[in-house]
This record gives sequence, C-alpha cells and structure tokens, in this order.
Amino acid sequence: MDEVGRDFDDFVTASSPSLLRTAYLLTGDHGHAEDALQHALMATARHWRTVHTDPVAYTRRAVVNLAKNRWRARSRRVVEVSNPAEPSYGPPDQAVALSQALVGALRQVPYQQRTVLVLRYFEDLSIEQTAEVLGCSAGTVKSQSHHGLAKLREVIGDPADFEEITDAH
Amino acid sequence: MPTDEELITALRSGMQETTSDLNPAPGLAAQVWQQSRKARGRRLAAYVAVPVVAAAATAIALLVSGGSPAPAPVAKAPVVSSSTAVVSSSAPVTRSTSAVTASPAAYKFAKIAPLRSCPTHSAAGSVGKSNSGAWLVTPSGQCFSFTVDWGDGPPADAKPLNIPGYPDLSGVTAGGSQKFYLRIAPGVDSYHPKGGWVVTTIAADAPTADVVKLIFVPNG
Repeated sequence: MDEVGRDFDDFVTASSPSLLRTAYLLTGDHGHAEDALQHALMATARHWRTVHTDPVAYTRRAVVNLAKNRWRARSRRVVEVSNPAEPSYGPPDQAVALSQALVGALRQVPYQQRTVLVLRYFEDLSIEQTAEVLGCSAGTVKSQSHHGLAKLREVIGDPADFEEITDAH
Repeated sequence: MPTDEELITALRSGMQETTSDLNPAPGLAAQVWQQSRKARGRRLAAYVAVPVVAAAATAIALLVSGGSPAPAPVAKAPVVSSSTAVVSSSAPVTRSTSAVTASPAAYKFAKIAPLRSCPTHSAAGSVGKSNSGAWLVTPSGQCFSFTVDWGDGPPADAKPLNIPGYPDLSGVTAGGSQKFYLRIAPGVDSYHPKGGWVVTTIAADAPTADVVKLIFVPNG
C-alpha cells in the first residue's frame, strides 16, 4: 500500500467504528450497517484526492444517505426481516433493557428525526454540523430534534419504568 | 415524564451500550482501497479504449464508404452506428466500458456462519439476524439457521417448488441441505439495482413452504 493508501487506512481505522455504529443506529441492522459503511468508504476512496481534507464528514454524509435509501427500500425489499436488537442469551439487566428499548424506539421515530437524534446525541455533532450533513437549515435540525425527542418519549415512556422492570428480574 | 435532558442522557447511554461491541471487520481499509484501485483501473482502461475504438470505427467507416471525410454530415451518422457495431463485436472493450457504471457491483453478501441455536426469546414464526448468523423459528417451533446469498440462477437439476402464491421458485436438495433460488426484480435491492438471483440455504429437513413464506414476500 502506498502513502496515500496508508492515509486512507489510518482514516478508516480511526473513524470506521464510529461510522459503523452510526449506520447501525440508522438502519437498525448490523448487516445493512456494514453494507452502508463499505459503500460509503468506497465512495470516499474513489474521491480521496478531493475529500481527504475532511473524509469523515464526506463518509458520514454518504452513510446517512445510504442508510436513508436502505430505509426507504425496506417496504419493497424481499429479504428484510430482522431482529430489533441483537439476541440476548442471558438474563436482562437495566442497561440491556434500556438498550433494546431504545433501539426499538428509535426504529419507530421517522428517519429524518432519527438521523438528527443520532447525529446530535451519538455523534455529538453541533446543530450546524448536523444541518450540513443533512443539507438542511439549523432551524430544521432543531425542529426535527424536538419532534424526535417527543416521539421517543411517547414510545419509551418514563426511563424509571426500566429500572422497575429490571429490578423485578 | 422525563425532561429533555434526562431523555437525552438515557438516549446517549442507550446508544453507546447498544453499539459498544460493534466493530468493522479487520482489513476493511485495505479491502476497500484495493477495490477502489481496481475500479479506477477499469475506468481508466475504458477511457483509453473508447477513443481508440472510435478512431478505428471512423477509419472503417471511411474505408467502407470509400471516400474522404469531406461530406461530413453524411459520414457522421454511419460512424456512430459503426462504432456501436465495433464495440459490440469487441468483447474485452465492451466489458471495460460497462465496468465504468457497475464498479460497486462486485460486492456480495458476506458468508454468514450459522448459529448453533435460535435466541432464547425468539417466538414461533419469527426470523432474525445477528452478528453471527441468520435464524428462523417455524410456526411449529423448530429452529433453523440459514444463509441468504446472491448467486447464479438455479442449476439444471433444480426442481420447481409448488408453493401457492410463490410462482417460479425452484430448489435443490443435496448433502443434507436444501437451496431455494429466487429471482430478485431490478430496482428491489438498492445494492443490486439490476436484480439477480438470491440463493437461500437451509437444512434439508426444514419445512420448505414455511421457510419460504417466513423469509420472502412476493414482489408486487
């Protein structure tokens, strides 16, 4: 691998775990998340000469777009029945219960709102950075975040319920 | 009801917990880089090949017409059609040209290692996928692991599967496993926009109709 290839390798090593996790939160499926990440990285590699100054932002945008396309295609797909969360083989604890509930709840939040929630609170992007990724205004990000949280609150209810549920185990 | 801050805190920790064990496959960077270099090589080959073919087609057209390039408006149209003919008769050049638009199509589904058993919480009639494989539980409660892969069409010895509502299915049973072949229509899968064949492999004793109905839905 030449020097440019090593730069790309360093970039992938540093950023791909976070991007994969973002893709997973957006798609709700590990396989689809890996597909989206690989395709996004392919696009980044193809345009490396022009995007190498900020490859993370470029790849993140590609991941978000690919995940959106995947989400839109879900209703038309042939093979698309997946577990809402990775299987749990042991007794659930509070963290597992919360995680599974959140993954399930996130899937019920409209895609645009979910993307805002993931970018803002998982990737820790600012409102302006989120707006840039999504190609929308800062006001739209604020609005989508507000509606997303409201939807999430509606779906998961009070987090204290999880403690009561898991305490019972 | 929780405040926004409480909800965000719970959301942050939940997302972190859920994804903490997700990591890309080792060697991903090298694999992607090599794929992109190969695709770039094909594009460059096409860029070189097309002008060469066009020049050759022009020369052939001029030879066939037996004249000089003077009557430009008349000569141009045959050159275009001749170049098409030359491209189609030159297999390597045609492949190089088509590779330009299909560079990511070299991907396929990763081989999925079967699970030893279904997750403990799985209900009858459910299908799922985890990091280590895909599984389903039949309506009667039997657990099977399976794989879904893109591949070629059915082999010559494939036999039709007569499942109501699922036309044009075929399958082969051999070596303790059965394979179903389903044609995926163009435009259904965003990563395989041209469609193709999906091959599903599952144990030979799995109830065929139940399995097909759990995994697939007819397109349209």
